[in-house]
Amino acid sequence: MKPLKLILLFAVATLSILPMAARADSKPVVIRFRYWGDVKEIAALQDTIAAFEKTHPNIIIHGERVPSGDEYVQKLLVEQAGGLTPDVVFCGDSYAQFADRGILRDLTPFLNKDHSVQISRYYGPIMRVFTDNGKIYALPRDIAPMGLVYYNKSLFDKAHIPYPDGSWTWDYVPHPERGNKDFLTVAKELTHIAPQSSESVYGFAPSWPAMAMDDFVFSSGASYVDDIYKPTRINFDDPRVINAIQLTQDLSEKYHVAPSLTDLQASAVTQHDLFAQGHVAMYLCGIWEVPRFREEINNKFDWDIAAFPAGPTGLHGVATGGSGYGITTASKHPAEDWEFLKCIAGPDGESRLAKTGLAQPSIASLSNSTLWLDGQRPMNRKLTIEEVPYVHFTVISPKWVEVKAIIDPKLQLVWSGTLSAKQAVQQLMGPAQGKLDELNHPPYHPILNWWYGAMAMAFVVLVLIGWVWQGAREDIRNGRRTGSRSEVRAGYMFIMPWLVGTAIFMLGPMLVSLLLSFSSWDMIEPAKWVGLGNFSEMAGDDRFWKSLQVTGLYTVFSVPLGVAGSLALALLLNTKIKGQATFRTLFYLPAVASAVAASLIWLRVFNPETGLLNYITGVLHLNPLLKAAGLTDPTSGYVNWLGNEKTALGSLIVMSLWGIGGGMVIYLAGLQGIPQSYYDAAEVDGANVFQKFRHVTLPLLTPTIFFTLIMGVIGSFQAFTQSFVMTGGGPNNATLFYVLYLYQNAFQFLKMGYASALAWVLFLIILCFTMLQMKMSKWVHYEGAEK
Amino acid sequence: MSNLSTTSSFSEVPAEPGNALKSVKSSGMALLKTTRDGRAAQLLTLLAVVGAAFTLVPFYLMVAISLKTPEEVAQNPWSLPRHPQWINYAHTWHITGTDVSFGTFFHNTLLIAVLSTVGTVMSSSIVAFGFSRLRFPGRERLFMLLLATMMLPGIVTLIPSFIGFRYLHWIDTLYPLIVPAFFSGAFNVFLLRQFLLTLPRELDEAARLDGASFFQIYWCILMPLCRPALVTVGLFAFIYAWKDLMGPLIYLNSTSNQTLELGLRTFDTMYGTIWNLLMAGSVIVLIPLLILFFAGQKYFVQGIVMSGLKD
Repeated sequence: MKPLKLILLFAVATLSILPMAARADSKPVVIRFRYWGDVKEIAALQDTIAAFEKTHPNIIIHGERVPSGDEYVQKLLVEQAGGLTPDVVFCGDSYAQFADRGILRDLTPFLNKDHSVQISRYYGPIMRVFTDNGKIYALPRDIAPMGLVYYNKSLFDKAHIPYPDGSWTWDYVPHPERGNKDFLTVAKELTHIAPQSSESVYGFAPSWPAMAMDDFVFSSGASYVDDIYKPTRINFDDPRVINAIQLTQDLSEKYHVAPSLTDLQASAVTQHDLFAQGHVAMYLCGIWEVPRFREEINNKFDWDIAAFPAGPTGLHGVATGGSGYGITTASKHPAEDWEFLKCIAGPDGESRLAKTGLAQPSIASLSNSTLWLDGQRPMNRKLTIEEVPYVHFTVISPKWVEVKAIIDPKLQLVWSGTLSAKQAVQQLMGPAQGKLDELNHPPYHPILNWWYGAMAMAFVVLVLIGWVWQGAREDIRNGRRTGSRSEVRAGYMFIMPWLVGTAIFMLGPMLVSLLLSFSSWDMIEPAKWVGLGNFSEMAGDDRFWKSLQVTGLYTVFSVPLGVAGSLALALLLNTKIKGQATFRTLFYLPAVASAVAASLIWLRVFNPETGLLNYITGVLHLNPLLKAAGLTDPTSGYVNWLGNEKTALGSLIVMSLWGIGGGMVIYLAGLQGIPQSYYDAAEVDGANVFQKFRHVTLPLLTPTIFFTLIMGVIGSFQAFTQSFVMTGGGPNNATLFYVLYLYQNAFQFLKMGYASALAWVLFLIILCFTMLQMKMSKWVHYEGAEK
Repeated sequence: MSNLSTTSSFSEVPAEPGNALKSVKSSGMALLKTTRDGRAAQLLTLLAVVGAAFTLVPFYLMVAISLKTPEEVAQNPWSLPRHPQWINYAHTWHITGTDVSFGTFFHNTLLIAVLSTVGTVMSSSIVAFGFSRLRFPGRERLFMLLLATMMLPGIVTLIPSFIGFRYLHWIDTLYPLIVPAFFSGAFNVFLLRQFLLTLPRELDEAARLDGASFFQIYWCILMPLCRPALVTVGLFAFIYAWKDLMGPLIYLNSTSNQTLELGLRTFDTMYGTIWNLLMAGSVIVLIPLLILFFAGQKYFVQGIVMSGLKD
């Protein structure tokens, strides 16, 4: 195509997207409403929005649906830092970070003026969470007690045990004399383990281990911290907490009533599915599992929910979650926001939510109505109301996330059976309390002066230009490295797109992040100058060194394997075998699959009880070998690939091999660039297959190999998605990739300054490796190199 | 030039493209001649089949789950679907009950992917030509800078970039995802540079002697020879834009502006994953990429036409 046609195409394309950028704003007030949701919730919300817009014709609600969890928080924080937050937002667990730091607006002025909203209609516990110093920062949306024991009636019938009615208790050891009033006795009687068989029935499984631990802690009257809103002391050394942790471990390791405990992102896949399949008699979770269980269990067996047993002292206590709606401080039309808030957090919105069955409304009267108690399974649904009086939130403080990141790895070692509860607590108390103290008494740092910052950045730019200038002068002196004037001019013209693009899109952000690496910034309050503080903190940061180790190991193994593998694959698929194009496409498939979907699928492959890998090891009778190597779980007899410290990283490395199709494509392109005439000439000289490879293929492929080696190192040092989706960095930081740790620091601990410092340290490391590779690149043969 | 005697080969290459194509049709199959090494070919085919099986397992699961009812997903995730639920695909496409369908996401993602691919291929090839075929002062150091831009994790430049795009009023538009592509990405420049460096200098010199401008050398001589690499770059750019999650997550707000990857997340929430719909969605999302790859296969077989080169 002629260049002119191309330019025309470009212009037309650009112009065609312009309308997209135009914002038609002919209606009065537009409210940006940020939410997440299950498909049913979205439908319910949209009905509410439609009804609202009908009664308020001067307001338009602009729905912004985003993924929940980490991504939700990340987006909101970026927008807060960039000054472009939405108007009305959902807030869940991460509420504490938002309110404490000033993202959410105080609602008390609205409540004082508008008497149509009675705070008393909401459940006390959830309302308290959103209240701070008498100010209210959000209206509740739902409350989610996590002390519901789903139980399989057929399995109870088979074991001749009467259904639990909530009058039972638990203790640290079984009390067979109490019969079916003792939780452990019931669990044991329901358990039938056939080692390494898919027919095992477990007595009890928590949705995730910490849920059981939480419920044990709260129903024994203990607490994790002294004050859940402003914690100063960690109470993990309370014997009741230690015993609760130990009991959770004992469920699997000692009493063998629970399957392998995993703390992973989708560990609920296992336990949830096992219950639906009838392989777990009692399953601990919240009410949100009901809609799915109804579909998945159908009428296979009858089931219901029972209250979590009371503790050794007769106390009831369960953990809970919850969410709410708030208005951002930056919103330009708070009055209209309030109108909308009243609607979605009021009977209207809440009743639609109740009908989805996913979230228990926080308005007590609605909870108590047939909207929620719909007369379908689970029949004992009123339990959700009964449990509200004794729910406990874990810690509602923004400081807790970072402390939790120290505690959780140790707990993961307990779940995998490596440490006892006592040992884990001994190891975590010091560092965790130290971190909490540090967060409660942050050292003083002056506010960063951006004028000085701008000058510093300008200085760096000058240094860079000077460096390039110096290289240019050397090139000029060495006449061979520069061409005629027209060639030089053409050279600069040709690289202009990159120069301009970098200057506009990359240079500024990179310099700002460099500046931020010398500062401390939570993205909400102004940045503070800490000088080299971040770097000295890094030197003493265990998890920093661990993440370097993990990432280094990952690189050392996956890069050479990947390069060799994809080269071999390309050579293989370059020969004339039947179905060549099909094979190439098949091998390339992993590269086109969505990373999140692929990771979730691989979770099912690695799943200890129901995964393919363990099915294969069973069929091939490899398990005795694995047991001898100390890798199997004592109860199920299977290897917990992603939940076991020793095998987690290896599993991810194997998973990376699945994607070598990407490299294969590059080598295929490189192979196509080798002219047939060279091979013909080699044949004329009498070369056989191996000699042809060694003397024609390999040398001419070296530029491509060089490319994949460098990109491989750069890429694997920045590996992120698998660990983010699959393991969250665990167990015990065994898969804590460097960029994952960076992400945690940026968007979970709200330490963007430290994260920037981490980024630049990584930059230096990669830079060194790359320069090393380039210096040692004499083996690369460029046909088109200058003489 | 290499040590192999190539004089005779080159002068034998015919000038017409048609015949040249015939003579290089088997350029990729240089290692084995099937007529003679039948057994070797069979062994290789076996290897390929085994490897493909390993690669396909997760995809089998993906498709199998996508065709099951929730009940079957929980009870028997690994078995073949008993009654394939093709309706799952319809539910997924319409995201039943909500206002935005996959159709909208498809439209947005297609727009982003096509435009950024065009932009990437054009700009990367231009910049790569500059770095590989033209000598100018400071070239090596500038190239190091180019590589350096790939070494910083994108997370820490998110906020400054966001602020920058905000001042341009590009937030919640597709611009931040398309425009930077027209200024070339370091990865693709590097790839094309490596490829260009394998082409002999004689091509350039001959063309210069004939009075060609640098742009003409780039456009008329080198680019046609680069087709496999250009197709690769285009493929990568398209796939990257198609699968990108971070960019759309941060820069797009309105549901009607969002892309397929974001849309998929509708089925993966904090309450758990709607497996069958999520897998159906994932299959829908990857099929266009597959078609693209399969269609691009012929460019990997064509090879280089060394016409016009005389010794």
